[in-house]
Amino acid sequence: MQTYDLDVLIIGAGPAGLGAGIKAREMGARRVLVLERDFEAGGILNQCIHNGFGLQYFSEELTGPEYAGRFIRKAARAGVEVQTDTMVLEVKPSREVITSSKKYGLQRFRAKSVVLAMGCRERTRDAIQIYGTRPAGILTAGTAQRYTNIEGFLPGRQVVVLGSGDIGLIMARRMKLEGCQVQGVYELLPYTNGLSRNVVQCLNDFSIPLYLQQTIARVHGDHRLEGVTAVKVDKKGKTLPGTEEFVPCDTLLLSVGLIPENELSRKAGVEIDPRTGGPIVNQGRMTNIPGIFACGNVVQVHDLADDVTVESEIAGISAALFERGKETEQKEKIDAGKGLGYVVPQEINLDKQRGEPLLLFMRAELPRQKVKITINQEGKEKLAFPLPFIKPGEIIKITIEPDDLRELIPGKDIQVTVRGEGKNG
Amino acid sequence: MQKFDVVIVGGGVVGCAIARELSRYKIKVILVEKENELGCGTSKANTGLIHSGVNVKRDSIKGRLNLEANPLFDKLTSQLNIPFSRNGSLVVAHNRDDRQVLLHSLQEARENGVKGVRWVDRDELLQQEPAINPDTYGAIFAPTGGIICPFEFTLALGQNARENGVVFSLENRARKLLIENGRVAGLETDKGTIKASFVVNAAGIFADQLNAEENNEGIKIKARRGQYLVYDREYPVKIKHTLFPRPTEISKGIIVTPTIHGNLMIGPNAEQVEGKNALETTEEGIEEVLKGAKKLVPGIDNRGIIRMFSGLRAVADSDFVIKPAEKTKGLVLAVGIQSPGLTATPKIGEVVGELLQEIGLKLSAKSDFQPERPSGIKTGEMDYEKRDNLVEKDRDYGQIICRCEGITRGEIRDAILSPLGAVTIDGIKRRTRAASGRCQSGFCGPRLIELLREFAGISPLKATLRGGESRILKFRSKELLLEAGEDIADL
Repeated sequence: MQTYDLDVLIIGAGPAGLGAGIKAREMGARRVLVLERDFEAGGILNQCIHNGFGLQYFSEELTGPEYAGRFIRKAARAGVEVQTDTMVLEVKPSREVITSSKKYGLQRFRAKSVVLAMGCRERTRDAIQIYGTRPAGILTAGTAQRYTNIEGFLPGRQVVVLGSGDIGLIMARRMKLEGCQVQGVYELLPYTNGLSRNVVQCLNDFSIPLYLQQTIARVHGDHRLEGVTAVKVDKKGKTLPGTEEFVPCDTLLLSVGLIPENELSRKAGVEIDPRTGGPIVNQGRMTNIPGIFACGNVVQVHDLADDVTVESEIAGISAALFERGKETEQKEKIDAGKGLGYVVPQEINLDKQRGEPLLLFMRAELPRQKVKITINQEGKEKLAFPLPFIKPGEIIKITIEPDDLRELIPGKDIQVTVRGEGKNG
Repeated sequence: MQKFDVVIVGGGVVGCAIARELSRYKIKVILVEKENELGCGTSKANTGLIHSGVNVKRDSIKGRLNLEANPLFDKLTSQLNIPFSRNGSLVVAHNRDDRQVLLHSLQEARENGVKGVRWVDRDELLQQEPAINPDTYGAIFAPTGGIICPFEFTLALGQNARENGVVFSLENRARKLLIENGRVAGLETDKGTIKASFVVNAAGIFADQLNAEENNEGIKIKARRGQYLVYDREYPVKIKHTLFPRPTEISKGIIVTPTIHGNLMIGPNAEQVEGKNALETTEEGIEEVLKGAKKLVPGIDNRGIIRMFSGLRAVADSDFVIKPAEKTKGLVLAVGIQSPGLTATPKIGEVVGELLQEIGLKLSAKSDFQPERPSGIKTGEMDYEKRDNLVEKDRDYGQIICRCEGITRGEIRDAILSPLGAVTIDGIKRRTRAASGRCQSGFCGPRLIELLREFAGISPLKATLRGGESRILKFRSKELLLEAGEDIADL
């Protein structure tokens, strides 16, 4: 087994890995290698042939492959090496990485810093316990997207979508455009989990019904799916007996959540935040293991590739600086308080952030109107950011400008909460 | 017309064990199976336990065969080159009453010759299994209890039988026994008539459908359903032994066990179901399983589930029915093989061989019987050096197809090309564990379809989950638009 020494090794050549790689090179890292398990770089963007990418980062509307293509070309120009068709078997806390590939066999890499950019995977039928038989025709929306857009096949002709995450909404429209009969999108919650623009552009514009507070209780069919039992649920998500309805279909697409893919991270000893499912990171996206960084959907499930890029650039810079012994030390914790599912980063060194704006990502637990996001220390509100509305399906981004950052006391933990506008609570 | 000495109906673990046993002798044997894979019925969907013999009755056939078969597994699994672990079982007492009953069972197990059984008190039990319900009164410990992959076991028996000359006819439904003058003359199948003087009915749940009038002797096979849950290997609740509650009248109760592949598995409940295809999971059933499992291990919940499934047990009577048919000469029944059927299989094979001999089949041993089945390559079990050397020789073992279980292209290729190879996605899954991990084929599904095309010549539109109408992809992109008469040149 050959051993190779690198400055920065990045796992995953999706938008996160490529963005981090480019920035690391720009910051002066010499040998930067991105490992990719698929046959091509680009990650999941390669199958996202719809538009809507790049509106924030490039101020123009691109398709997924176009967005990925820009970074693939930029990476090549920047001197980032990409090795595809290579699976990482193990990441050691010493930043040694073992891989397996058809072309190169087993390889050992030793890197000054490692960036985890493995993305996320979809929750499955069994994870959400849909009862019934086990026929063919039940797929996650992302897998169906790959079959349709890359492999050139359709799973069926009569489709039910469970879950109103963005992939579910996109795939409902995609199936309709392919001539399938889309019976509807079912969502357990009283609100959708996707971006508002996707509800409008994918469902409303194509007359695809959206059934809120309804779920699929059971699937039917021996060999191939023949239909599903849809059922209404109460506010707590409990099924309401007597509301069952048989919906004929040969295909059930699941868009019921994404899980950051952290098996390698866990085995390496990276500490995981149960709220995000991703590594606990500081403002430079370093994990608890010095020299191991993480960015993109492996840290938190983003709504937009553009945000992944922003986060990956932060990680790329830190990874490049780390090799020069300039790593930041974590000091203050940032906790998600009332009304928030999580905040990223979970840790910060306020002293090191002086003079730089601080970007916080967070997710609301419930949809609310007219709120303010408050930044607190020692139970006192230090900063407040009013927002017209928040919803769980759309990530909240708060940028604390350098001047405002001075309000925060170094050495004291930070709580971020949602408050009603004008009053305390 | 094909001529054989013996036809075995049914390619489950029982049929395959009988096939392997008979392949020791100089006779012509054919096994017919209606599905395109072995082990598609009860054999693929059960708890995968090799029972120690605690809580069995020696005077029943199933009890006796269990006791006799358990010690055979070390040699058998080593010959067949399949993983097997004597992880030990614990039958746990939850109250004084349980303890009383189980102490009696312990005495019985000792009398039955179950090796190494002893009582463990609460402290030792909690030390051995910290996750167990602390509200316990001790347990019977049986070190000979074991775990196995039931599908791999079935396949290995089948492959070894085939290696020794048994003919396997898959996707071939047995239609009707041919009977002449009250004795078996052959079997009519979907693929033609097979002439034979001896037939073994090992058709599992469907055993009573083979010439019901002539030979069932009043036997009716009822399906008893058991539902199961399998957890992610990273699920935080860990146990080492197979945990049983005090058994009930009809079943061993809901069990908590590690699988041979290192997942936590719980189940089964026991439900009498109508029909022979009632393979669904239900809310009530899964809740019952969770409730039962929580009683043994309170930390178990419904997070981390990667698979729910149910299996059917063929129940004819309170016991196995293994005997020559009375009315039809030449027919041997090996039916109603409920729990502990998997454990008993090696002995069932032997017993059926003896019964065939008793009713006139001449058996003389082959000198060239090959009991060893070559082991397949499992890259996950190799250290990096070995693995690197392997990939040097064969690059297919370098490319990982299933990310969750780390299964390579080479291993999947082998599963397709080996004797009685995989022809479906489920077939690949059961042989290699590809697609059985936490993403449940989300990532590797498209690649497996491609490998079925490459190595089995199955076009993607014909690739199935498990045969029949279970096609995964039904149309090409744009096919529906063309069908609807859309002008797709503009799209």
